Amino acid sequence: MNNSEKFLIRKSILELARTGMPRTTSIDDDIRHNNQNKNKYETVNLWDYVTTLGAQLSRPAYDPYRETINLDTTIGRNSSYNVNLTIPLLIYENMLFSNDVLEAVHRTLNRLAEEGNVLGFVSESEIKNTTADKRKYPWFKKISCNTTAANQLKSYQIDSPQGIVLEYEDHNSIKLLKNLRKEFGYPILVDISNIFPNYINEILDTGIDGIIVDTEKVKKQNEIYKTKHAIAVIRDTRNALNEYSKIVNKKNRSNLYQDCNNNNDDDIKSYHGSAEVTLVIAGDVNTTGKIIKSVALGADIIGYSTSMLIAYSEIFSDRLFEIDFVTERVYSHMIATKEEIKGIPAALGYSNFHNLTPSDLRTSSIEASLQGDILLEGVDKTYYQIIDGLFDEYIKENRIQISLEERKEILKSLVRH
Amino acid sequence: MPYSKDVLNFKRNILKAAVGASQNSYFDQDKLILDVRKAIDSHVPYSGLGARPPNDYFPSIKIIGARLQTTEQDDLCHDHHEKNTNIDTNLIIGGRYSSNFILTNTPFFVSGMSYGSLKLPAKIALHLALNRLAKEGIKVMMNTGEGGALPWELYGSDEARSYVSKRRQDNILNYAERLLREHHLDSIDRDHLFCRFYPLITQYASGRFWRDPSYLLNADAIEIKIGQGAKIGHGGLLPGPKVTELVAENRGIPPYKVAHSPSRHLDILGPEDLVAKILELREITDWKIPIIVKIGSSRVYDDIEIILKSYADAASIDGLVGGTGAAPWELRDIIGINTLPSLKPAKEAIYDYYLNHQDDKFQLLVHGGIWDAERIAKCIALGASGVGIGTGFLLCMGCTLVQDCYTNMCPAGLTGSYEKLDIEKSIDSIVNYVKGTLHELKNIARSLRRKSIHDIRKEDLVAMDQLSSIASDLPLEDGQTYRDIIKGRIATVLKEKNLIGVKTQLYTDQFRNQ
Amino acid sequence: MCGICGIMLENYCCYNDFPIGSILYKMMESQQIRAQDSTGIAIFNKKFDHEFYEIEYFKKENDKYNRFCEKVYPERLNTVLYDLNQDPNVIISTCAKQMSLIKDVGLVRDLDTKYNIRSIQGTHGIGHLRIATSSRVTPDNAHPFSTTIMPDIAVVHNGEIANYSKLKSSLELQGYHFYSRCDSEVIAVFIADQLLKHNDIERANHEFINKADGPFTYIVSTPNCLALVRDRFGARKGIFGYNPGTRDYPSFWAIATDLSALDCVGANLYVETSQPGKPKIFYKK
Repeated sequence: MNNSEKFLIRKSILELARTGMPRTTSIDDDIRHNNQNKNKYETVNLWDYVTTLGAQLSRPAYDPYRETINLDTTIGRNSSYNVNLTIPLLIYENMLFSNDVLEAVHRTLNRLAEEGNVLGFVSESEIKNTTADKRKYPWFKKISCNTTAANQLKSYQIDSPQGIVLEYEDHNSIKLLKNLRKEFGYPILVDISNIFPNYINEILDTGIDGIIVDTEKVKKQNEIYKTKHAIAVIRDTRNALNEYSKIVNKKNRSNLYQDCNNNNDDDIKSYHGSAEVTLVIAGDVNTTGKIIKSVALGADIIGYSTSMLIAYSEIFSDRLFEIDFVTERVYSHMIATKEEIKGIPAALGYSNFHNLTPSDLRTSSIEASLQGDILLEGVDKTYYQIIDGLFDEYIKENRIQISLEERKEILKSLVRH
Repeated sequence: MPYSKDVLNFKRNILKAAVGASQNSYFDQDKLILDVRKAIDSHVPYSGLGARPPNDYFPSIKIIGARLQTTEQDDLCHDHHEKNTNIDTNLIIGGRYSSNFILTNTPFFVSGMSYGSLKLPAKIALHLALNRLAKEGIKVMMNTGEGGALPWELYGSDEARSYVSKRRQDNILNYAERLLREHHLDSIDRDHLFCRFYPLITQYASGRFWRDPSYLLNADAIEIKIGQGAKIGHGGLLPGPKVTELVAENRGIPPYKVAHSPSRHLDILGPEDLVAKILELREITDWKIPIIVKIGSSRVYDDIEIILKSYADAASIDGLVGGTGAAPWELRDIIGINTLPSLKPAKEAIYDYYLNHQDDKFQLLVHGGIWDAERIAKCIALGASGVGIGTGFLLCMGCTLVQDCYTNMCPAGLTGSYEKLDIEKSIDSIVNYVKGTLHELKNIARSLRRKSIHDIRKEDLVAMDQLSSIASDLPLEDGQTYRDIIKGRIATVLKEKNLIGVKTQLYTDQFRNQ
Repeated sequence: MCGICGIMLENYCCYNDFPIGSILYKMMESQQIRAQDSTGIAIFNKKFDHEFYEIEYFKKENDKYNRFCEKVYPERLNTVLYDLNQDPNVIISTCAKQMSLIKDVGLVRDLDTKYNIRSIQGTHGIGHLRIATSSRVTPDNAHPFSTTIMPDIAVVHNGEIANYSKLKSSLELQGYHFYSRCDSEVIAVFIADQLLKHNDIERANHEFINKADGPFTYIVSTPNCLALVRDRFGARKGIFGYNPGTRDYPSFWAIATDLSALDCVGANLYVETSQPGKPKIFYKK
């Protein structure tokens, strides 16, 4: 119930409470009438139509206040060193940050890291701080393909970041990635928002450790996703990564089989590494509710920008230059977010944050069910499954022969309606 | 805790900014306020009342031919002798395993709203209103909520008091006096207060907030609360400032410290534990008292299946929109499913169970966003036996839906002590609300030519859009179900692609015949 | 999931003919009121060890589950398994040489009437009573669960594996076949996969404790041992006790969910709760 509905409900009940006599219209009549006059161009945010299933009898809930909930995430599958985050967030530097704000963010991240709350930070250059406070949190250096490879290789050796984030531009990036993989022992993440959803397998074959997908960027540059929601982007990325896993596992198994025949006792895990590619989702995931839903849809880490938070401080603009004030605010915000991120998986029955799956989600919108492949409330089937089932019934009833390709095509055009 | 000065400042500034903003900018005020609260308070922000999902299905379902006000035509069509009376609206709970049962005159009852989250004036208003209604022949059930029962609810009769020692009786009266004095309610007539004519359900929640065995023994029914719709998987929550000394005494906990009930009953971790717990309660109450199990709407089919096997008399499901005194904001908004779609799997679980077992009286109760007679009728038509109303009663006492229940600053004086609630006016409002709703229910039954509200069936309902049709398995207004519509589209698409198959079939038939 | 129980005879060689089925039966009967959906046992006896494998499976036909049993010699094993796996209505419940696994819907006394479980002899065994939490009540969803990856492994489980679908998909990626929709099956497949890699039962169980989420207590049994495992939080009960036996009656260790089950078979010496997160292993001597 939004505010206009709240008014209608109150009005109706108060009428009953005042008179004790039957009314002329019910609350549902009023709401229906109200909806007819609603602004047709109001943006529909599909996030609001998705909920999760809580744990009760068939699965008991954990207690976040009394039991430990694990939020640890490791980035790195082919790198010699891994990065371990204890809160699955990567903070992005934003152009709105002034130097003072950057300093405040740096202090906050240090303070959090000291207490055991390790988050990652992504920026082009390390925060040159005035307090000479050594960096205790992992920093991911952002590089672009434009500057020549040689210069970049040198620069990150000096700065010593714990990881690299590369924004993929075009095919030259593949060569750069291969070089990077050889030279750089820490995790490499590639932002593929510009070319999404193409070339994912090729990029992963270079041996990088994770991909970053910014849903806002993807919607801007891709014709298909322009009309879709972030849910679709996350789901499709996760599906692509699962396909890649299958291919890698098949290769590993056949190699394993060959090796067993050759009686090779060497460490057999080194083929293409494990397939655990980290998926970082950024853009439009700025509340805890959306973080949980994104992770359930398949994300591992969320790119979180505190820029909005700092922007609100614009309203306190007279205090924006007080580094201590901003530090305190960002720190409090992070602690509260961490508590929320712990509380929700516990209420869903998981003691490990990364065990959320898409089958924990339900939706009250057909559109969300199609875009994110999410089960509908009450019936526990996705809309696609309902159409699929009815299609089967129909062709059986009418004894129609149909090939698999034709079937796929027809189902696609059915859901497009 | 009330909003801090910084947050109030921010709220003011943001409203100013919103006023000046152009039409095109989209201001998500709630999100901004949430972020600022986290930044300033440094802990999880709470909120009161229920979640606000954009779609809660009820407005998309219609009862064909139902009217809230009846005309002379409807009365004439009924047997002349039965005019204006005798539409059965009774609800019976119990009888499946318990030897007693509760009979109420309305199919709806007051959901559990605990003392602690609701202040004393509101609880007294509900108590006195239900007493007055019972004396007029309309018995409505009330659920105590998690925070324990008040002394006049448990010892509301001389008989009940006669079972305890004189010293204990004095303690009870003493405690009642202190309660009334704290809320400046000395003027209430004690004899008037210390009686109970309506059935009481006591809630057995994970916090185990009571210290008196009569909580279970003097009850007319016990409700084991596994979860509630607002915060499934999260225990009851009462913020520190609301745990006053008297609330703390009623619950047996230290005052002014936030009361987090455990997320689950510490001794109910799974189905066999529930069975053991119910058998234990049965022994304590001598198999007399009905036992209800309350869950939030989440994995409805599985949970109801377990409850059916656990020797309970009734199950109660609470939808996502159910209200609460305090819950972490994000957790409340994203966990659970809506009330209406959870009726279908519940009915399926009950139907599948009784395929293999003899039919006995298992009742299904439903809560969560049901405020008026039309919604009650829809739930009953879809299979509920009875309906719980919580926010509806708060609304008629003056609730303004600001959702600040946890702050102690309720503008209507219901969940906070800063405003004074007019008890007499509230009692009148509640009585009117119940009578009006009951009258409307009877009118709905009458306009459909039924003798009982429980005779309204699924066949009397239609869905207004495809989603509601899928969630409740109802046809649309033109008589088609969602299956017919989708199959129609399949036929169209196949025709477009010339794959309708008739040609192929005929062709092969021709071949075969040759 | 509900009551689990297990028995390990201490000196089996003297009592090779002892019908431990009757002890398991007694323990299960005492808990029957709490769980009445389905029941099952798995008993190990070296005497069962033949040259051939016994493959038992259910075949689903129109909502009815028919039980079939095949004796397969080792050379043909892979082909037979492959053929059976192609049929989606076939649910293989055992692939065994030394193990007798019997499970069905209904009460334990019905199981005894049908299959005479009280007279089954052996050295160690496990039993289970089920009240369904998330999969339907059908014979294939009853415990104990086994797997075709390696013979003679059985698991009974009390609890819920919350990240069941994740564990299942990662095991399926490795090529393993699952037969039921019940989350307990993943324990059997996981442990079998681990044993194939390093044959260390303690390490296998530790791996599972680390990877799995949700409350669980399970007993996994192989021809050499029984292992009682509880999750890190100890959310579900698991206790064991010892019966020193008499001249005519063997001494044994008994595992159960509830103390009353241990009491009814006299296993009330050295009663201990199994430590959460630490597997308790009983080896066959």
